Amino acid sequence: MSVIDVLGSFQDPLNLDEGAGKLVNVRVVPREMKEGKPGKARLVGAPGLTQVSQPTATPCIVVGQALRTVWSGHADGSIYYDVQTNAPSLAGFVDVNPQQPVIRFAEDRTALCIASNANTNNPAEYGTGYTAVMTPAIGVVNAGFDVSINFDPSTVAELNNITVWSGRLISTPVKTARCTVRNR
Amino acid sequence: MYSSQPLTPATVLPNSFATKEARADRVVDLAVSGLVLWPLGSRSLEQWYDPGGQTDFAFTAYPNSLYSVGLAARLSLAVLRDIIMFVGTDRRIWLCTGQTGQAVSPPWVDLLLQQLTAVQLATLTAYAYGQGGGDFYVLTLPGQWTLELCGATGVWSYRQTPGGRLDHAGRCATGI
Repeated sequence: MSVIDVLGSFQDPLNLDEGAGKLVNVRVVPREMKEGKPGKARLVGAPGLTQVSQPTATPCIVVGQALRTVWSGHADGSIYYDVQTNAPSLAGFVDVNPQQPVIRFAEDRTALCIASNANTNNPAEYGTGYTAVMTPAIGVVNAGFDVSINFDPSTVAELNNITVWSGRLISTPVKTARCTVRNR
Repeated sequence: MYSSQPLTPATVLPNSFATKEARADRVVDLAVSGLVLWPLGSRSLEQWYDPGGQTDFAFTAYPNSLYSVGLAARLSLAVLRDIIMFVGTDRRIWLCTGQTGQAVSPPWVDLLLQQLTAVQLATLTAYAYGQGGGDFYVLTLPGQWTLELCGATGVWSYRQTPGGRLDHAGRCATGI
């Protein structure tokens, strides 16, 4: 069925449809066909969010808070801070697997903790742990776990001011049964 | 898993390590909900807490607490306001909070996930965001589809980015 109405701009109160808080050029589209009777409808529109910053053209794959600012991690391994402003700064780079880059952030009171899924110093390993601060001369620092404890984390979490480093795989081999559906 | 000294993330003592205890599967990722640390394994989920005074690894496992479902796709993991969401090895979407976890996806979403190949499953990406008092989990099979769960209502919706693409362009979010 074709579009039946155009409402202009609309604040979707529950974000049930397009998700973004403010939708523009909103149209009402029937969700259920009721043979001419009133039925459920959905709202279709364009998200009305405004761009705050774009530190790099490389896709952003993670954002998080630490040290009272917002950090972003990108598919090329670049880490930026102050991305909630229109003047983000480059903190440094982390190693990522270009096939499927993964960066994890955890907020410590003293630094942003970062784990990524590649290791340049030892390519046989699966990840690298870093800390980052907003001081330009320091930026992103390799924690050197492959030397200090012979362990290379690919994930990180923070609880009770203690940082936990773990993980190593990009993703797990899945060995669950697949369901085949046949329509009869 | 290795734990650092408090407030010194890069200082990890060689004996401050632990492995998952109940099952032999490896830790794939970590998540925190409240004061509970969830080591998400490839076939099981455990819950750990900080009892204080530990001389080696800072956390210990809760007794009698285990789920026999693992994290199927690492990039499907998203955490928002103590809510941990991911695609489990049972091809269902799990929602864990505190010490409780359960599958929340309806049968049609489960069927969608069950029809994915292992390669497709590994490419799933997800993020969560909060807006207007609601929590949302957004799961994307790149180039194919994007599903969004509204936590307040339990309603699932397809999302698209205007311009002809089948999935949604969003890949991450944080609240500020």
